[in-house]
Amino acid sequence: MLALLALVCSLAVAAETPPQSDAPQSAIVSGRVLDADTGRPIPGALVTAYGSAAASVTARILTNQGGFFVVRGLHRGSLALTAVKSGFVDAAYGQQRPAGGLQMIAIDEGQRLVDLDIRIWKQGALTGALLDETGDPVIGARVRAFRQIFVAARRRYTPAGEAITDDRGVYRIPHLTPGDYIVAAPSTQTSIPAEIMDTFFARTGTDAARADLALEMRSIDAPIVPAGSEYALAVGGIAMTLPPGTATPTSRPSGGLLVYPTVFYPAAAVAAQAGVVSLRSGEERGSIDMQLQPSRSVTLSGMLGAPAGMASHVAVRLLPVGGEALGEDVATATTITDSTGTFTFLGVPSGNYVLSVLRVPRLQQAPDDGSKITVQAGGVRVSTAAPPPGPVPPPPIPADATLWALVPVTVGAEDLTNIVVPLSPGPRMAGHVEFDGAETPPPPSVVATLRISLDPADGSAPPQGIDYDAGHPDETGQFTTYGVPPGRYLANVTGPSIPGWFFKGARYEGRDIADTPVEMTKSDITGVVLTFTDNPSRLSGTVRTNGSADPAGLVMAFPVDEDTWSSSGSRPRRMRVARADKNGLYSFANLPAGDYYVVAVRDDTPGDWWDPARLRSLSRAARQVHLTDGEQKRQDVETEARR
Amino acid sequence: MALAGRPNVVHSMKAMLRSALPRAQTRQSITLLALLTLLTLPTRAVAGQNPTAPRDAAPTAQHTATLSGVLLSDDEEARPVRHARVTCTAPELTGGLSTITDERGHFTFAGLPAGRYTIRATRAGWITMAYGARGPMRPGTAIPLADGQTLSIVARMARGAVMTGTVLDENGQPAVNTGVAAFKPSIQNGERRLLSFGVPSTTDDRGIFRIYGLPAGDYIVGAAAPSTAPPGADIRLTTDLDVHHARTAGAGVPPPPDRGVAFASTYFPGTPLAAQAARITLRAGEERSGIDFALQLVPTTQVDGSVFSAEGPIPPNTQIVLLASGDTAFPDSPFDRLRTTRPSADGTFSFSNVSPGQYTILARSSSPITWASTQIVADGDRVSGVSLSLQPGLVLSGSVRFDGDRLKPPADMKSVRIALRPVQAQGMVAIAPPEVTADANGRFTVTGVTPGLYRLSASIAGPAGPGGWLLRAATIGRQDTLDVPYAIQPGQLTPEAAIVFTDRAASLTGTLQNLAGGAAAEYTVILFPADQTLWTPQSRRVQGVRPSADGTFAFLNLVGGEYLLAAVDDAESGEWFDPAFLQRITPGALRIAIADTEQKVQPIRLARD
Repeated sequence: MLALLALVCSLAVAAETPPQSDAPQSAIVSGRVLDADTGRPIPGALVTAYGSAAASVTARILTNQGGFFVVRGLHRGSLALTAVKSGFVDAAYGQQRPAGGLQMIAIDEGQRLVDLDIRIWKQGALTGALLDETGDPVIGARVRAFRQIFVAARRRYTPAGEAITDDRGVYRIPHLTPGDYIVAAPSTQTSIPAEIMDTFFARTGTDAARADLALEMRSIDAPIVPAGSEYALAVGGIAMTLPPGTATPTSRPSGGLLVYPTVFYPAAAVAAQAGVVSLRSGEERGSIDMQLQPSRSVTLSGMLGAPAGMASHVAVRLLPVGGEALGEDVATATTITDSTGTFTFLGVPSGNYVLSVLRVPRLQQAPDDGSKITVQAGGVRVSTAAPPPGPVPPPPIPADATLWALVPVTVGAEDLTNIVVPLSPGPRMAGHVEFDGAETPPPPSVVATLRISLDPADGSAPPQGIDYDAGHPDETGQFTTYGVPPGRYLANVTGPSIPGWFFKGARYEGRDIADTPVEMTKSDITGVVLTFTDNPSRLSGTVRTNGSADPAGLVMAFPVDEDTWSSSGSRPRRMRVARADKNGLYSFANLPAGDYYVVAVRDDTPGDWWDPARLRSLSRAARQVHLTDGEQKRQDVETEARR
Repeated sequence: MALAGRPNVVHSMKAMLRSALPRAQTRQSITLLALLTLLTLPTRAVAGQNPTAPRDAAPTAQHTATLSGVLLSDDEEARPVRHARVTCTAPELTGGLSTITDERGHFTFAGLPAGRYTIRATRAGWITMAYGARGPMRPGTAIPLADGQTLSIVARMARGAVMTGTVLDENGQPAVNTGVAAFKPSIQNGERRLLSFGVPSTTDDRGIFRIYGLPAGDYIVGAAAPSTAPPGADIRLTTDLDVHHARTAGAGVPPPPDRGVAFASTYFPGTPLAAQAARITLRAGEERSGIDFALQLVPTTQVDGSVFSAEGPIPPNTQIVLLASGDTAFPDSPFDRLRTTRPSADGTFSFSNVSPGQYTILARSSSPITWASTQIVADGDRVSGVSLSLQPGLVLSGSVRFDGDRLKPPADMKSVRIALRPVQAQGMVAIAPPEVTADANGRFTVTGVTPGLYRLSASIAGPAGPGGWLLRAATIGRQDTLDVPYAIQPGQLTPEAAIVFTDRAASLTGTLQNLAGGAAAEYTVILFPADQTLWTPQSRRVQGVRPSADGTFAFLNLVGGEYLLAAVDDAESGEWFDPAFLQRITPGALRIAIADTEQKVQPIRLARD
């Protein structure tokens, strides 16, 4: 759903701004939601209208017994329709396959369109049982499915669904689109110094310090639970949290803990060795059974080296080598340093790991302005506050450095102690924003709403805690980002779009680091110019098949230079898809200047658009297009059969 | 109330003396027995230590005792329960201890100070059980341990029962991702209410749910209104008129009115009201299937109103909260329909897509603090003209005092946090004033108080260990709100508040013996005030404990007063806060006066008639 919505939003942004006049005649569209396999109407589906045509439509529409929906109150612009129904993959108008490309609908003032049927595909499901080494069911444990995708020409796995085992150890992950999956019963041993837990329960320290701690604990999903309870064991001054499920650590007679490490279906320890389960549309795949095996574990402890005060209460992660395709999502162990900067991981099985630290500067906690209302009912209290009217300005980027460390660790049969992990400051990027065009530049207050992202070129997730908001310009257009761990990054602009202006590129030392990665090492990078233009390029044309327009076509544009595919980050500007409309017309707005392959495909079989092998094969049949800045180019394309 | 049918056995000396008690008072399984005070042993005030119930784990406490045991399944085979979580608590311990049973069900807690220990076992899918308890939700017995003592116990726990079924939507299709829970009346915060038991379930893509870990008992099963839309997002049902209009009506023909709908919370076998739900009786460990029912679509209501202030324009930070009251909220989740908004500059506000039911609408501004509140009923028709008149918040001021001869008061009075907690009738909602801390002189001021019943409370930052400061009194005017809530009235000056901490609490310890002089460990001893006006939920003067295997019992941290003491053969934890329950056991209870700071020892003996 997320991917689909992202696509909808980007389309909506690219479309023209809607006429705001109070037109007397709003447009009405109607149609049915139909089961794609049987053609049966689906009652009770929730239809939502997006796009510039639906700017004033707030209601979501429930289909009636005949599967019909009616959306009123539409105005001139473009429209996307999505349909959500339990038991089916989230769908959108014009899709040729589950999770396929959607089709925008052009709406005119006062128009009636009454045959807009939305096809919706039955979801797939994965089920199985989770047992322990004796065959006892593991109850209340989380099982997760990850779908294989291609990001920056690399195979990665993205969270696709999860379920909790029941009293029989049985789980069922529904709502899956066709694709290749890996399934895991993840297990993270979380060790929190008992003094930190006590801070919350004995209410010691300041409220602000506790709020900082709570944020740090949330960053590693550590629950705040009392040590020495059913929720956490107390082991030598460390609270080892006990996650739900019975696969809890036990002590072994010779000392130390027996833990149940993460297992990937069928019986792998790391994602790289997991078995891939291919799921067809609507398929229910059973017997994805896994067995947990207890493992001896050791304690790993040490100290972070950082300027005074900066090493205390910092989250530390132990990530398995071989789990890179999952990102930092499945850590083997997590902890937080105590006030002296000392960290202790309990329950670490032998293996190869990377110890990862990223200390993002802490923001000043906003003082409690008393605007929250605390309501009490039935002995329970809840604090609530209505969202403030208007946009909230982002907090200023702190002067403190971002501190990071990545240290390989090999764990054997013995405890590892006194590991010294020096933290290094991460480099920042600084520069300013320029508006290059005939239009009046936006007012400073609007400039300050922009968000600048630093996207790792290899497509890995941006640093936790910085995410897609590494920085933002001030009202004069100057910006400095947070420090980031060294690496190759792409600079991009996210955040709200500015009407009439389009992000053109990020100039640094004569190249565009929005598309060509910049190596950020120890020192800061300054003088970056983020440019906006009021004259975006447009590549458009008609998709044809056998000489006539093909409304089912999907057009892909990607760089001719294959070497750039693998350094295009997680949101490539130069790798785009556009779905043909009902007249077979397609359009790419604001494609950066360069040489592209443009190819039309039939979007009716599952698979990943960005599999490099597929791109290579498509490139042989593709048209080559050279696009310059601001160019309005037409290029018709013939639909190619999939291979 | 649920006492009927529950095998409560009340013991009293008076009952023995009136052995010809009319049968009418001993109806059903309730039998009145006798409690014999051993008058030959005079009650005495004990200033020193009681060997079986040490008052404080002073710094000199030894940590030499060991408590170990085996956890067995509570069935005929009595197999070891592996990988269960066992917790160990005692008044003599700061915080608790926990461990995991090994493959043979064994657990050990070593290095313990002498004390009275309570053991509890939990395991997913099993029923949490206190050691020695007569059933789930019942108090366990304490295990007295002396310095250097090693004790081994056998604890038991049972697998929970299971309920499964299918929830459908209004079209007879699976209702997916819908929360389903099993509820049973039980006691929480001293009041009986519907509480969720077992592990709540979410329906899967086939609409199937499975609730497990349930103790035996009578349940109702409910499905929470599925959140197909974010709160407040309108859902409009497509009608045949809509389709007809879209397809055939000429331009200019007005469309049919919108029909806003929402899913209603529904209880098995198909009612929106918990009170009308069918009772499902579960036996221990049973798996019950076929709990099938369907969700209903209900018309939603648009609520419009305005907020105004007699002082002039409404404060800019005014917020409006809408939340379910009465039986409208799903049991155990009173805030499932909480909505918040801000009024426009002219004070108007609206909530759309409100499901049927009773609601409270609250308004509050933070600077200056003003408030307003009203009730509405949503039934599908538009509710308009809701009027909220902002009133200035009231103020409560007072001071904190430490009255002790053993402990030093905290160096920093600012470590004392004061909370003024609303005390409400069931189903009602109230604005809780923010917690405040005392200043360096111990003075505090709670602002923005709305009229209502309140209990004042205070706590000190830092670990709460044995023998620390205790809250002795929290008075508003002359009324101690720890005993009876204080009614803060609009338009009246609230009197000065006073919070007193003490380091000297009274206690009552003793031994419960049967007629033969043996330990009567199977009973529950209940201590409650003689004055019925003090029978309030969660009153500190009402306590229930199970004696240890040797018959010893201890009530700690008491305040002085006239008390009644009774023994019953079974009681759910907290059931003793129910005035009707206390009323029933009063005739057989023994009257005891306990002075402030008195360490009273009161051996008692039961006698059956």
